[in-house]
Amino acid sequence: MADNGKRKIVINPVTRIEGHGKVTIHMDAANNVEQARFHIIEFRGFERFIQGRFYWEAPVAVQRLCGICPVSHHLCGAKATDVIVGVDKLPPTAEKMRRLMHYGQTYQSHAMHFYHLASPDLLFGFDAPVAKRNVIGVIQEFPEAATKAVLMRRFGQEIIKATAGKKVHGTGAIPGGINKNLSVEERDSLKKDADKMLEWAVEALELAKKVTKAGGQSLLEFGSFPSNHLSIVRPDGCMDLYDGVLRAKTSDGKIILDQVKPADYLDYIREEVRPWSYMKFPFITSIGQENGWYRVGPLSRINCCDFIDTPVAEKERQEFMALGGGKPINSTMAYHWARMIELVHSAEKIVELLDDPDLQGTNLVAVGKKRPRGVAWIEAPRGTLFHHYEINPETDQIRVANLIVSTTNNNEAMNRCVQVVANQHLKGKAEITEGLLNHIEVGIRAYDPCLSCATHALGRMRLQVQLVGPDGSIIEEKLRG
Amino acid sequence: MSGSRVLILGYGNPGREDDGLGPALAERCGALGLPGVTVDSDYQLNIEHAADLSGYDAVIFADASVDAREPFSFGPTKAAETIAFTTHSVSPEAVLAICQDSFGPPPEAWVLAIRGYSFEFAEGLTDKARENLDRAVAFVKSKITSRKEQQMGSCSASKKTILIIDDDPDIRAAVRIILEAEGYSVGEAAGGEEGLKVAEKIKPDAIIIDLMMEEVDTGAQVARKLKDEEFAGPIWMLSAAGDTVQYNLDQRELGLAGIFQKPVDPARLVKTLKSKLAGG
Repeated sequence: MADNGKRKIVINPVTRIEGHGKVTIHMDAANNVEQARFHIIEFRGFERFIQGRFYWEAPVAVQRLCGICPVSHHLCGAKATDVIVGVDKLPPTAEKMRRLMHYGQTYQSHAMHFYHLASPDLLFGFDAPVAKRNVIGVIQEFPEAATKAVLMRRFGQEIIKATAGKKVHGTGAIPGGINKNLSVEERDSLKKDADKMLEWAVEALELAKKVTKAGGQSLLEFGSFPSNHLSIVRPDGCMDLYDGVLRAKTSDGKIILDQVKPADYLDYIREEVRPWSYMKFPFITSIGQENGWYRVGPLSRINCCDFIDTPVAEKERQEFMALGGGKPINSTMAYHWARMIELVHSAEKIVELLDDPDLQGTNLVAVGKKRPRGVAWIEAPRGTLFHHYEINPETDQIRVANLIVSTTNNNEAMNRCVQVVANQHLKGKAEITEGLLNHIEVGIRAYDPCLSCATHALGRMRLQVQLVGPDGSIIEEKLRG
Repeated sequence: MSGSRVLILGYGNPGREDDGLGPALAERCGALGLPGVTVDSDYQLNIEHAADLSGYDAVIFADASVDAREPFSFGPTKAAETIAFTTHSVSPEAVLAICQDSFGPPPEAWVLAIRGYSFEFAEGLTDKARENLDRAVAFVKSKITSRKEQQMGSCSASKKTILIIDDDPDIRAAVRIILEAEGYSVGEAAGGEEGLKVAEKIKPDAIIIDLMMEEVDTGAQVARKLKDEEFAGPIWMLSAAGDTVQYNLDQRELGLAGIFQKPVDPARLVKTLKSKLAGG
């Protein structure tokens, strides 16, 4: 500890979260939290990666930005290039193939996150030994659930392979449509497991609900704070993970904006740059930088929509919203419950789509008149994803690109979460224990952030924990991995 | 490596330069059409790969590495007993553990870590990584081919014992990894005197000796003593100055089978040993 009694706790990188994040917590002499920040230390250079490419390359190229949710980038890129090729309505086969791909991605991502990353904390407690608090611990204590988690993730990946053509750098979605339909063989192969996958999704939801309720008020208040919520919804207010208009609500449910179309997003959303983070801080323009930040992702999507058009998920949405008497839920840990409602919704949609003969249609691509600008969005598993391209019509090359990715949209919220969790759990404590550090991780993990773009080469991943004094000296250091 | 069904699982993001080494290896090996070999690739190693391992006798996890020995390292691995922390992507050891706990005994497993150098947003591998990939592909091909030969009974490498004498533990480890992967039994010694004692104890079928250890010609002295003691197997010298040694050492007088240049080319090492020891 330095002479002035102040110290800084550094958690770097945050574990069980994609990529390399760093948390710094500045504490005063009495071990009260003075300030907490969640840093993004890797510069991703998204826009520069896309600029100069031909627009038709974008749907494939943008997948390389992220190995965690490549399908979301693939589909959002394709949707932006739909606009560029002048197509506002896809043939039914193309739209449904893309939706199937998207629900497959959401299904596998949500199942994986809940069982593999979140459930160890929920089932064993935040203070359980780290050696137990992981998926192997889940396998040993709950072998059946863990095996189902693996097979659920695999099922989602099989859908992606069948619709995108392959798992790595899929090529299914192209400007104006799709390049393949779903063969009868592919459909039948997926159909044989689809009902079971829905059943297992409901089991996962029941487990999420049970552990959240068992945690009581203290769990719901963990890392929680009021915030605005933003997501896309269908124009009639129905949840829609693939397409729709933008809606935002205040923490108590008042509509801030609604029916916003992709092309107009810059009139409603701005991004702030702060010197200590490479990641931007988006905010709703009409409210301003100070209070215009918002949350995205499963919790916000459930909060923003009026209803869900699949029966089981809608029933569960109603039960979930009853927690807040119909007003938005602002609990960080409620993300897990909301995520599982979406897991069920995705499974219901998959079952529905696999019965739709349009997937075997042969009209795959629409054409239109080329436009110089294309903006699109999609609800990626982690939240709203924006792709905006402007092209040089003479050369067809992208000259301007702007991406707001899901984790960026949750940037301020994650900082707030760290601050709240630090205040709740580190206050007055002088010792950095595994359990204490994990409370910070648990809070951030609820947002399922993705920071790494999937560069994971052997030797790169590790956990470094430092306690640093204001003079820069390391007071305490811990390494994992 | 035993058994007939082999899965080569290459993973990494080809949009991040050398991070694409794993998928590139899988693609290249797939194009070779090696018998009994299935290749697959993905952005990351993930939990569902535990289910994919079922039904295979052996799996090679191929990935880029930021700090592996050049051009690559290759070694056996097994299911993790504990996991310190996890992300959406998991380690080969975690995949094996999940397979073991949920889907039955995992296959024999190996990690091929190919050295990469740059991991920025760009297409394609760096030149140095490409060279490493070429050597890794040659190594895998050699390994798979030798596995098939073993199954056909043309060469039973597992019966042979090789002694490596070198004062550099990294070199000993590298040779051990390469040879054990081929089914050889490997003994080690860190110097000339120790080498002679170990040779007496384990009775190797062949010996590889570093030329320069305690003294500049320790390796030659050891070879001479082994010959005096009527060691009948082939002896290879290991030298960082291979070509120069060719002209300054009387190989016939020392009874040498040849000289390997450091760093050791895995494919050449294996091929040479197999050729010399086949049928013996």
